Amino acid sequence: MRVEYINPFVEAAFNTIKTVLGVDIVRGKLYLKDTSQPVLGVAVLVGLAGDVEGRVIFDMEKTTALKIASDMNGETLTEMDELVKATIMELANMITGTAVTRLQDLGFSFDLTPPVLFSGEKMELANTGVEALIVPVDLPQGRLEINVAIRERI
Amino acid sequence: MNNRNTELNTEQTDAIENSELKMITFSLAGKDYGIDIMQVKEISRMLDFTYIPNAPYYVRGVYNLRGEIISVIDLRLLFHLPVPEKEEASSDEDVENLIVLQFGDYYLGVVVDRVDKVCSVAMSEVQAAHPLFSDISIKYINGLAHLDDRLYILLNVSLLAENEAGGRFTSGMESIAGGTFSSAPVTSAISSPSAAAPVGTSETVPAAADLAETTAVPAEESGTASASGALSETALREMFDRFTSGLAAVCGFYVNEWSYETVYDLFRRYVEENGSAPDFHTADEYSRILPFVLEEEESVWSAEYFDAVKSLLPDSSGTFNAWCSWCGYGYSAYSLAAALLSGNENLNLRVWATDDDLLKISMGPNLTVQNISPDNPIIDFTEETKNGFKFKKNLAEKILFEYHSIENGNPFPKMKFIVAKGKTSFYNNDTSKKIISELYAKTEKNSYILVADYETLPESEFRLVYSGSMKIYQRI
Repeated sequence: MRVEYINPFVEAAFNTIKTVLGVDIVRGKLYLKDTSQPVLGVAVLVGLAGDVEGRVIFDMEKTTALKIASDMNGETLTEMDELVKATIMELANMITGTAVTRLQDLGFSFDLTPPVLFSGEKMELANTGVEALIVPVDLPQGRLEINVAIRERI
Repeated sequence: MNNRNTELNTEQTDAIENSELKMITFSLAGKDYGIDIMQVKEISRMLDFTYIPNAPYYVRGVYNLRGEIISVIDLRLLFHLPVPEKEEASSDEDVENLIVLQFGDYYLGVVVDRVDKVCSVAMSEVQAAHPLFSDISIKYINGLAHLDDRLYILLNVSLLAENEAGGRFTSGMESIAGGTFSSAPVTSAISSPSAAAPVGTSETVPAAADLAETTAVPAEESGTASASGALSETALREMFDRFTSGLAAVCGFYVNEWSYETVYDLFRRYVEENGSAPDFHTADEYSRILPFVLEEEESVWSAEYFDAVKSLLPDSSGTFNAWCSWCGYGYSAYSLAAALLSGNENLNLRVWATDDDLLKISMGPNLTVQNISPDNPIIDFTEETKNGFKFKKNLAEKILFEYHSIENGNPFPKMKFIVAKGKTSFYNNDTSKKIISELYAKTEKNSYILVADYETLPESEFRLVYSGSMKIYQRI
């Protein structure tokens, strides 16, 4: 993944979460991964197109999703209902949107697809030959993993 | 020695296929794993490891196990798995589960989520792991065992000590590493490279044995070399095997199919001159006969490289894709682009510059160089600023800097020029094999590969077109 793309995503994630949730976050070490991996329980996928092709996945446990949605809505939510799903997708959209805007400023043209949310037990994510950048984010609500895979259109 | 090895291995394999493997099972992030019980000394629960400053991120510290100081690493940190949060030490729940592993006379503690049980599985039930299966690196996996409706991932724990620590942990790790559960005869690779080649030893060094299969070993040729005189080819080969094990453990340099020829030649010359195998214990000693085992400092290319690359360049029309693997800060990527463009300024060039060191590669797009000699041709492609020499925009825009680990697959197109200088031997044998085939896969007819002067590509597929302080090969 091009180094120019990394910072916009990391900054967008941290700034957006900080603003929206008003919490302190601990930034984990970035690393690369090419194998399939377990999905923690709730995953939101946002596709990227334009100069590049790729996707961003926001992966978290169900309890984390509920806590984040509760804090964003200012009420206690205990079920994965429509509101929770919409809230989590909105957060993913905001982060990806911010990142793409930053990239636009740097001269890269990206488009987004609408977010898609997956939830379930014991899910696994598999894609071959795609190397993903993992941005781990530790929140008081739990751990959020942002998984970014982007490649140049050749 | 090869023959004896084969016999031994067959015997061992037979015995193993009929035998049962006893393993200790445990879980990490909800998945089940197993470790051969023969490598486990004990299981314990403990807290309060003594933290060591500047240790790698996965090292939790050291622990005093009844007078024995052992290092403790956290498998979850090593494999980047989530670590459940522990409250302050108040209740029983808060202590960590620890498995103490034994390698020879050396102990290593590993922290896991939960220790499960001891169970047996027939060796014949153990299957090879598939790269897609697990979220931990395939190199740590020995196989998979299916038992009671659960799938256990068998970990190659020897590699923990040997590989990740880069030779920090000593005491014969290398000879166990990479082996399957069959690697029973454990010898101390580091303490014995100097032994005067007892011809009758039955040790097997997996790395070297593996190499013997994959590399065309000029056995007869060196056997008849007059100066080797009293030493038989077998003895020499055994000494060489021990030498390469030590080299891997001390310098992290794994002799592979590219570096084999040069290392073996230099080794043989040393033995012929001194009458005995080298007795080396430090990287400095190894580097005296193998200067290339120390990592080079990065800099822009010299005029020699520049002219060599420039002279090779055909009047290429269409896109000219080049790949600078392990480009670090990007010096070699800028140099390559400049050399190619000075050969043909209208070249439709695109250079992929990749490295798995995020800090270094992030500097790439804005690299400034402190000193460039005025007679280095690359100076024409730079502008002097108050911070040093900066590369001109028309050069910089040709280069894509990517954070990429060459061990993972990549979507790059076929390349006309690849720089792969002096790095493949710093990966263990399985990984370097994979990397080399990945590099080959990106070449096409007439593609060039630039390698270090000690690296040799197979003559059947590559033609040497330049040889100096580095080599350039062209694919036939």
